[in-house]
Amino acid sequence: MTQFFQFLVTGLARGSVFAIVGLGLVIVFKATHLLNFAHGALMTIGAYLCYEFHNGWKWNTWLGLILVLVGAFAALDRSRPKFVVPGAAMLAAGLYVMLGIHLDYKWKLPYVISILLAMIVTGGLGLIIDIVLLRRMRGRPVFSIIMVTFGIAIIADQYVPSRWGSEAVNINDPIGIKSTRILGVPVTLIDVVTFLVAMGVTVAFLQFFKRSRMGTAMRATAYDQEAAIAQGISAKMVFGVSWFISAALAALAGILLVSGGGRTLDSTVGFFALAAFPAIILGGIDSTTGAIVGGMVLGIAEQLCVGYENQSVFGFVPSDYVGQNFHVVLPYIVMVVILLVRPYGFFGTKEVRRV
Amino acid sequence: MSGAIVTLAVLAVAAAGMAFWTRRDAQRHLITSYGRDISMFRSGWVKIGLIIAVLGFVSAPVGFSWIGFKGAHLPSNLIPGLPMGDFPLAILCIAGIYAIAAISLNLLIGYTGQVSLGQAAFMGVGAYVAGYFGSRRNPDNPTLAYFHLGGWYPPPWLWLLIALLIGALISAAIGPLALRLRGQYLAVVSIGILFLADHVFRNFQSWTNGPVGRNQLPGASVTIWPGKMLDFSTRASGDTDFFGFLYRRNQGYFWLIWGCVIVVMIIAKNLVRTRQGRAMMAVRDRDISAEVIGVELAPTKIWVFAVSGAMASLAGALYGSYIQAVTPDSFNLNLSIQFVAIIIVGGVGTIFGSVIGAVAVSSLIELFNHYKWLFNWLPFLKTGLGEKGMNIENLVRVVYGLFIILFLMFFPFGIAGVWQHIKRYLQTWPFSS
Repeated sequence: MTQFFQFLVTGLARGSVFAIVGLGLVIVFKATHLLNFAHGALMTIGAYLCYEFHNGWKWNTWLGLILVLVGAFAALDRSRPKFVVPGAAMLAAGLYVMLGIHLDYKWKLPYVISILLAMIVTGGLGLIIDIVLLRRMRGRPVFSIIMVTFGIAIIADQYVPSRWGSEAVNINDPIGIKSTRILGVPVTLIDVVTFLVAMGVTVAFLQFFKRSRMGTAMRATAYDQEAAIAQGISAKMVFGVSWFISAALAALAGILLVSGGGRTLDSTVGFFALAAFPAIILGGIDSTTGAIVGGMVLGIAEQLCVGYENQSVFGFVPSDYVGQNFHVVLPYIVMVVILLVRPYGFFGTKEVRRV
Repeated sequence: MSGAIVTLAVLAVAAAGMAFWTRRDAQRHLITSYGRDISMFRSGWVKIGLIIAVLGFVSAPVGFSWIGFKGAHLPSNLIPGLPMGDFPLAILCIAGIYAIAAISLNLLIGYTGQVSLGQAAFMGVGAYVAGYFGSRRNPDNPTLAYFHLGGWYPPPWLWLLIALLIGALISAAIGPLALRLRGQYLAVVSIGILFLADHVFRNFQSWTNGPVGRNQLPGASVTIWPGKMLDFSTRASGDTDFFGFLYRRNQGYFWLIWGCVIVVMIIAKNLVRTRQGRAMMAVRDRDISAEVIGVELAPTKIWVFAVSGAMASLAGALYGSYIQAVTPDSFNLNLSIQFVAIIIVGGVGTIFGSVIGAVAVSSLIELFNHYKWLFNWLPFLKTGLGEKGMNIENLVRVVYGLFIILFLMFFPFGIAGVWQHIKRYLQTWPFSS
């Protein structure tokens, strides 16, 4: 029973991370009706940014990043053609500075501030993706836009190992391997912290979504885009804010996933986002509640599967029948079964199809 | 000198001539009937182009890699430094395999609008099935299962056919999912199928040899008449003879693979210009409208999934036979995305575009890897092993990601769309813009 409780706590922690990844995906889906396959890449980048802020950072990244962003803005703004060439030059110079010069200026920040900075910078990255790439793609087939996000993911996945190295690193968070007791059962502290932080962020977002002016505008745009625009809501603003929040949540999820003793950070963190797709589909692709519930359910199911697949349960060992590492495919099997029964998930709205 | 340059020059002249004569032809014969519009060869000049393509198919291996006479072993690479020998042929073999897979994916995405990212899984199924039915007993790994009937082993055409059928069956079993799900839901589920296939490949030890993978894979040889074998698969260094002519392994495989490409192209082209193909396109454009005008969704979708799965597993079987090693890692999401990239670059919804895209994308990757020294001047490339920084593989992947994004943003119809544009420009010249 102790063991079961420990698995449950780990599952809740894992599920809450699933929930905020799913929440990020759902926010973008509600605003722009597209699944963001670059979410995993944003998670990886966010986690690495936090690692760099916390363990000493290099100025050339930031100078280069600013040059690239300003250059990209200038070069791609069609309304001001005279800035195209200088903008492109600035972009190239920024890439050069970012990738070519390795001058270190080590400056370490406290962990919480690192997390916040990483979230803000990753959010800005999401905003840039929306403005520079996806704003131009609006109105194209969904397939094209999805593939653009795949393209972003491919490029980001190459950038990460070339910037931060391909070997796993430790993020050196202050919590580490400390453990605590809940109801007399020893559990790792990071699981409790992860659960509390993720739930706090989720509740904060839901309140923002429900009560604030921007949140109301986001809900209105999700409900009926044209009507919202007719009411004076800036859809561009809503899309930008959605992307910013989504990317910031991705960064937080990536950081929470690699914090704690014995966990390391490498470029495979992004695979977690692929596993979060079943979670949001389980709950309904356009439902924030669905993302949270689906994430929790899948997190607990996955951790129970990890815990029990190599033990004898009721006289038989599950992995003899379903193979090693069954927890990797469990979310997908659950997803396929659920989709066959309820094609729009548990909390999703049924799509009305018209001729 | 090098037959390679001659071959390329002949192909270039042929393309220019086709473009020119298309204009002449269009001025003389306007397409005025539906029958003509959906016919396979809309103008006579396409037939000539086809003949030239077939000649190129037969002669390209001869041009790129030397064929000698029996007893006279010639070096495969006459001029060191030029891309001769087996290297371009190896690229073209892989490109042909990718072309078959890309055509199969184009039938799904480009013609029926079913976004699937699980094509690599069906390719894996084909490779493993071919490995089981085509291989012999491996003394190093006696527990690995292989198929035999009292010492009789299936010939290549039979294991290719079995791989094709099993791929079609499994893919058709996935088809009903597409009836319930649409668009992005289907894309996510197909990723799930990819992970499931990976799980099966890793855990079905007796057939697949687990994470290590099968290395005992079939060689492809065809008995022309008793006692005379046409062997496509001589081991890397060896030469085989065909009525006294020597040819190398890559040459043999080039003919086998591109022969399959031509057959698949003809089948796909004919599929999309018949009733089935028009039903597929109606489903793509608006499925409810298609149902209203009498297209039955279920058979159409399941049929196209079956055909697409069959083609993908054919590609997988050829891949396994050519590479001679199949591991679960070969058939991952990256491979699926690569096929999608191929059809985006080549042109979504065209058969010919898939082949062009396959050649373009795979030769891009291979040429970057082969000519590493061309990029030494780039400041951010790392030189040592332990250093941080980008290596050439990273750079290739970045260029490839940029290719996807830029093509989607600026050339949404791919290379085939650009070609159409040029053709139309020439046809309507002096009035074209």
